[in-house]
Amino acid sequence: MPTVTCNACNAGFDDEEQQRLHYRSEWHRYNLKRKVAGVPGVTEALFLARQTALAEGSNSDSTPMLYSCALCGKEYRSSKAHAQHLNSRSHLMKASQEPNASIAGITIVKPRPERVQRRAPSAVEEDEDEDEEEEWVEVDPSELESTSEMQVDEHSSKSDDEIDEFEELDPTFCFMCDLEHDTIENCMVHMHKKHGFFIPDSEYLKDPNGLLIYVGLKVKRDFICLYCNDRCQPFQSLEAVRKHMDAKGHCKVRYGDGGDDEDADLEDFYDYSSSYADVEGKELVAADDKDNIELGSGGAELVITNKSEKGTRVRTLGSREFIRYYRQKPRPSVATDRALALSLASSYKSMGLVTVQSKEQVVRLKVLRAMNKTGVETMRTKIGMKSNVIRNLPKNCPY
Amino acid sequence: MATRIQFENNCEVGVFSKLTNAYCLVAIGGSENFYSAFESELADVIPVVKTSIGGTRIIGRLCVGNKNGLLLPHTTTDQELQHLRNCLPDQVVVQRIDERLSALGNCVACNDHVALTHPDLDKATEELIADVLGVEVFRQTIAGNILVGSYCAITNRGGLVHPHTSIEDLDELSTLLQVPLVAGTVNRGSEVIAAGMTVNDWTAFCGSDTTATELSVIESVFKLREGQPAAIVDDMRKSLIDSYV
Repeated sequence: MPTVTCNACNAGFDDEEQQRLHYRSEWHRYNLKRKVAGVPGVTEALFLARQTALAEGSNSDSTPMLYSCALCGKEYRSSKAHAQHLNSRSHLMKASQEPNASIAGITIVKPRPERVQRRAPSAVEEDEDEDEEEEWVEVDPSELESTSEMQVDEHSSKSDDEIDEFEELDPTFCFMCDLEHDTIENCMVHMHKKHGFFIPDSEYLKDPNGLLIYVGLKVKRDFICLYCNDRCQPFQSLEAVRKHMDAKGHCKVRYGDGGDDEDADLEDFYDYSSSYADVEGKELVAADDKDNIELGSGGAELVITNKSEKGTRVRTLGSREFIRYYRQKPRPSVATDRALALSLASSYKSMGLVTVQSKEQVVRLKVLRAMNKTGVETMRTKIGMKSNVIRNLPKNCPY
Repeated sequence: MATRIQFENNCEVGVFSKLTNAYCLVAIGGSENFYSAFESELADVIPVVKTSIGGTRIIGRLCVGNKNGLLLPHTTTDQELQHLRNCLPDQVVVQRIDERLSALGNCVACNDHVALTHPDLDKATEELIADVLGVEVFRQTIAGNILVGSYCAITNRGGLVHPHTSIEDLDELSTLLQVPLVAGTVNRGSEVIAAGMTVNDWTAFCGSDTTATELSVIESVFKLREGQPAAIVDDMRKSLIDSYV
């Protein structure tokens, strides 16, 4: 007579130790779940049998097989379905009509192909069966060849990385799509048409080769967007930076707009000395004539406007305080690059582009920077504060 | 003895508190009424700790503990874990469990010696419960319900289980736990026992909806009326000495 029992498993135990061991077993857990589901529990022998069946089922599922009947030309995914087919009327009728009894019992068992397209096998003889097997085997070498081709591609991609980066940056290559051109002009035309890239102030460009190499290195080596420049972090790959520049329309350099975010490194490729106007003659202006005289650039420049019968002439006189900036004259450019720059400017004009001369803006930008350092604005503010004091007060008012 | 209380007009006091023989956890409420009820009954014996678990107040349904340890779900923040470790006695081990069934109070019902667990609990969690709480773990169901922690409340002296538990299951569980069990309800017929009450060896707190008949069943099965001064001195000498030292 067992003293302790397990109601879920309908089992009895002689002592509590066996009961505790039973409560930790998988059999007890299985019966607990069945009890929750409202199903009666199973005995231990049945549970072990089910576990064994599950284990065998998992083993057989590892290699799926394909069963095909040679006589009827049908394929089945399981042996049971194939056995059921052997007992069907159609198979028995064909077997009775077939004079050769050996073909009726042929069953082709082979692994189920996953990637190869399934072909509908027709009624065939023994020789054709062998042909089918040969055709099935022949598919593997092509797969192996494709795999080796992929490996070769990987090797070529790895070797590409080892090429010297400077040699790769030929100015005639487009840095957006790696398309090769005969000359730099053709490359520039392509970049303008396909990607919207152009060089501002091209008539003052003195080193177009250097500029293109610099821009290409920035994109291909540093993965930096030309327009965002340092304001955003570098991208993680060349494809990412190209997608960004194409998607946001940032395929242009930040230069010539007169803003504070200009790329100062690009000034090294430009020469604005030819744009300085030669002023002839001197003119003294009386202090009373204020119609022709204005203060520009925050009070540091004098703008004189002369109106005569021939036309209007405007002259700007700078302060001696900033004479070092006004006297800046970059070195003269090479004649060949000059011709190239002029051809670029003419091609831009033919395409309808207008290049804005930003000489004045550049100079004013430099002057403004220097003024911020010296504090001219602060001085003006102080003068304004002083002028606010009222000095002619009546005598009976002390303050 | 058993006391009727409510937490902010909610009678499921077991959801917002966890009572053991070594400590008591209560939820942080808008007023001090809930905390004061526990403090008046337990302040002389065990610490009453106000806490939250994972930012929630349903601490009774998220943690499981006894006098040896306290198990918290993985949603517990580090501040809460450190706060509990600071406030609880030194022999209580506070441990965080990485278990997908994070409502540990609903999955585990335990006293100081035995624990009943959810059938789908991980084996690693089962071993951790056995180590931290110092209990023997059995997977069991209560009246066909897998949430064993919700449908029964057990102490070292007795236990209350789901009212639909059969006599055979009651005998089996009683043999397993080595304590007398009875089928009953709380909060005027609610079969969710652990949500409506929280109990240890000498006191119990029920929802204010609990009827006098339910209260008498609770007091008799948990032997709460035997909590006389002499019995307290004799049975809980260790707890008293720990508190005074």
